[in-house]
Amino acid sequence: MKTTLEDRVHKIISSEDSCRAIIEVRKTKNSHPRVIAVICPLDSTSHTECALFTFKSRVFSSKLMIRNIVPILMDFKAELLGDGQFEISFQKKNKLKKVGYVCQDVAFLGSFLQTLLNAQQIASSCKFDTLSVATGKSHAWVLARYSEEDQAIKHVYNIIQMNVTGKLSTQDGFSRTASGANAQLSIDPIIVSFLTGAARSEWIHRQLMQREDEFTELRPVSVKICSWNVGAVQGPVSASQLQQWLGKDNDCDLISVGLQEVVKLNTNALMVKESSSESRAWLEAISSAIGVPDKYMVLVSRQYVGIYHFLAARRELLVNGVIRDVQCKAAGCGILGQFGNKGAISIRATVYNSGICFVCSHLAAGKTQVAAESGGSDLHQLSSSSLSSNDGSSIGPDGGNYSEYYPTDVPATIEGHDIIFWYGDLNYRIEAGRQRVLELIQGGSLEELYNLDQLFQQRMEGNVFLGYKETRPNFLPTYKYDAGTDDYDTSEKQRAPAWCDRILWNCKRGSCKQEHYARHELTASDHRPVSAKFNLEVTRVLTDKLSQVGEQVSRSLDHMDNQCTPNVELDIKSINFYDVHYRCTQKQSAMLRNTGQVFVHYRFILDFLKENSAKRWLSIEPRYGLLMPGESRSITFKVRVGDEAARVLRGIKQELQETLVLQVEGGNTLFVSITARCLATAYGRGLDELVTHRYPIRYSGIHVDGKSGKVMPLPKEVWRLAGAIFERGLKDDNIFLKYGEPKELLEIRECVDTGAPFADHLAPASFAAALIQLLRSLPNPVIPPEVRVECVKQHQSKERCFRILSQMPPINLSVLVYLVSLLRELLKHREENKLSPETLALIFSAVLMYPETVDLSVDDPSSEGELMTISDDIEPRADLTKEQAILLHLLRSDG
Amino acid sequence: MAAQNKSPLNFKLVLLGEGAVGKSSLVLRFVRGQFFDYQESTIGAAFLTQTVALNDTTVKFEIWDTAGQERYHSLAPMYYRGAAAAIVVYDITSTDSFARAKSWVRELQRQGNPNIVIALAGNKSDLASKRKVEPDEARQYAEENNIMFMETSAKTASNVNELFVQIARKLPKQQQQDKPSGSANIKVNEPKQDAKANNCSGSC
Repeated sequence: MKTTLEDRVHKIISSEDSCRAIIEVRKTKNSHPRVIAVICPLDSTSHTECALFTFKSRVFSSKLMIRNIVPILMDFKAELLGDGQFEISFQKKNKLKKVGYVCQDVAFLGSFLQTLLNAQQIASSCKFDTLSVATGKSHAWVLARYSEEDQAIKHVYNIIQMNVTGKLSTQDGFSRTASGANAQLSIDPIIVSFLTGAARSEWIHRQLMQREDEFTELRPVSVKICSWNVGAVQGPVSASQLQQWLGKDNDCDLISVGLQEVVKLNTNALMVKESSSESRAWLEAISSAIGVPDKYMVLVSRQYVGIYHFLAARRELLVNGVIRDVQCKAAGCGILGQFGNKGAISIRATVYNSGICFVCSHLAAGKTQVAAESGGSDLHQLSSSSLSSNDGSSIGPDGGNYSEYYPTDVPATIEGHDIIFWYGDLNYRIEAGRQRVLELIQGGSLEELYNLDQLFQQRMEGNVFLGYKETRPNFLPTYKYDAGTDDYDTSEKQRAPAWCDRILWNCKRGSCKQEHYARHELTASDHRPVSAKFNLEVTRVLTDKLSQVGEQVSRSLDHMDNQCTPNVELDIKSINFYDVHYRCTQKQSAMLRNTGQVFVHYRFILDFLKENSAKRWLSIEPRYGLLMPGESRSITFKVRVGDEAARVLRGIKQELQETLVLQVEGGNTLFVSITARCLATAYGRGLDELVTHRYPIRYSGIHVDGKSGKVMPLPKEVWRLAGAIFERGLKDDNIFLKYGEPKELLEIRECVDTGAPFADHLAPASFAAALIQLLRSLPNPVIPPEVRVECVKQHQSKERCFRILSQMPPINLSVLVYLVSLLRELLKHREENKLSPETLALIFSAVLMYPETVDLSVDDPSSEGELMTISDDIEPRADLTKEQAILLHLLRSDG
Repeated sequence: MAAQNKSPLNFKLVLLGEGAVGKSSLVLRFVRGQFFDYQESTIGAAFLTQTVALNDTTVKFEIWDTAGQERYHSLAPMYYRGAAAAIVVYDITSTDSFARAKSWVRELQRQGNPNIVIALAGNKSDLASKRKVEPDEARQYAEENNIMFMETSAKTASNVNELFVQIARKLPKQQQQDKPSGSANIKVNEPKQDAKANNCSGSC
């Protein structure tokens, strides 16, 4: 006898698990066959936790080998691609993994995929995700039973490792990891620091959920469920009969009564949806039977075509505010999925802090239900239908401090509730002929009968009512009787008796124990009514304690937040540069260290500096950057006063105090004080200003003679530098073409600014360089741009050039004349100094009339070197420029 | 999802006042529950966050504790710009610090966010024997200027939480939720006036 695939799988998997669907596939048309199966545990607490097993056939053996196990989680997907091809996808190592298969037996494929999809829907409603696997809240059985299958188990381990080490990095990774059950305070702060907005709330929520027992207590609540398909009996039955069913002296906290077929289900009835004389009559009858309003109060009385749903609660519970947020919603799933000949009315209520949902439904009849799983799809349709209804009262939650983090809000779907009761005429039949059923009934073999019950079978196969429970009815089938008698259907149809009327429950939080499950001998309808009593323990939140715990959780998050604030330390708080000379770079360093636990992006901001001048003389390297925790970086603060800075600084007192802002993205800021004494210099000032200073610039602050109105004919700085060249450099070889010594240049500038005499050792070339530097530091050249433009136009005419030049401002003219005379003097010694008029004209045309466009005054304080002389820049050119020509006129002229 | 995703409302709060009046101490008492007799002076601005749970909502303060020394005065706008609340602190043993506090209040009212909630805090209330500023004087000033007033002690923790909770209560709660939170960065280049939607001055 050939073993079936299923048998082969069952040989491999644990006896505690069952195979729900199975199929033989290949990766490609020609590859080795594999077997994939949906496996779930048999026991009722975990039988919703499905996993997809992949098996490999062994060569020369019918025995299978587990190759891979993938827990079916919320993000699991299965997609039919057509032509027998399908694809499953799931998260693996935080990446979406897709596997494609081909199945030749298309007939089986449909039902296999349906099972997979069902399993995924269950996973969604139960919120199975990598976290729940990692924390052992779901799919613990996989590890427990198959951990020897090393290949297979890797996947599950991967999930666990990912979560525990917190290395998830995708968009949802943070919230998941950060809210990991065992992650409480030991969590990597880098991850927590990203918790903002909703993720933060969820983190608090999950932390609270872990400590739920600290601020909640369980409260007993008793519930009675009564269901009857009344078969459209004319008017309610007598009060005494009703009490026989509903109970005489009820002490239950909640009583829910569900009726089916309160009206005749003809086409006319489909239109009457909300209310009828029948439902009003039932309301009155039930109310008086259970003791409304003295003992009970009606919460909901609602009709939806043939279904009538009633919920009442003990007065005290309502008075004390134990029951809140009562909402009711009806959904049809009859003809076209809309009409109400079949359907359900769900009522939800918050009792203490648990959400309880009562679903009274009348599902489609007949054996088709099993074959096409129409009952199942009805259920899916109903259980996933939204509950966010606008009818029913809604009372807001307590004003408790942290109650917003506790799920007191109304779940959006039936399956979102903590405890669900699902009952009514579920219309499942017994898988046997009438005769057989009657035999079993007469033989009292209810257990055997129950094994043939379609609802039981379907539930065991995991097709419907996953997570729901039902105790085996120890009463006879409730359907179908000849109304008014105790005889099962004697009509032509000779229907087989069945347990159509059922009460199931699903308890997700708290506890729920069934006290009794019975039928009642009311003969008015072709159905017998049933009832069940439950003792629940539901959660009650102790608001004060919730606030306490909530504050602790919130504080711990704040604490982490603050620990995660980027933080740096700079080993100095202020920097003093003492004397800063023109064009002399000074550097100081400081160590910037990331002392926080997260990376730091720092930036020095100069925009806030007073006068904005420091930007021109201060530079910071590197001004911004990234520091990892514990990393240090040397920061260089550099000052250098160039022409522009000198110009800006000249009106200011020499002692400069600035505050640098060191900004850390998302964290503290530090202020760094910068102190510098910028020594006054003639460099960078205009000719017209220089001539007002009779005393050396450095002391002009002391001798305020510049304001007296007396001006000198020539800036004394020009006069002194030119004089030094007259004295020392007329015969110097290639003077003006040589580099000056930086040290000597500094010394000469100091002498110029302070009035000190020039030392003997100073080389003529240094004076030449100092002079050129001074002329080029002028904000305006000696020959102003407008004059230059005029001269250039007339550059061929010596006389016209002279005329134009003679109309320059007197200071400019006298400087020009003085310089030309110096150059002429130099040319007299061309034998020794080897200068030519062309060379000098080239150099001095650039020095005396640099065009505006070439902004020679641009100071980059970060630039290192010092330009020694202008001749560095000047390339000898074969043809004369027009400016050069003008200069040549001057040099060759005798006038 | 069962959890409600109500995220806390974020508010920028700045502490201003003369040096050594106890701004950092107030913040550290509030955030960490700590107090140090010798608290290093703040050179720069320290950033801390702390949530306050009110009955109906949760407020998350993004606190900027600024340097009090006068030489850093010009940098203060960087921190109070866009702040929803300001605590102006003075030392009850120093009349100078009270005068300085008044000028901070004036500056905030002139240049701060028009809806800014200002609280005047007379700190060091534990040093009653050295008191120079009478609470009545400060209270009267606060009433005239429509700002909150409380005497606090970072050392004994007196009124510290209360101060922040009172401010939290006064802040407008209809803050747009889509505004990105956790914006701890000070805006440097564009001085923008964060006009809060709710027209709620210190009096509401």
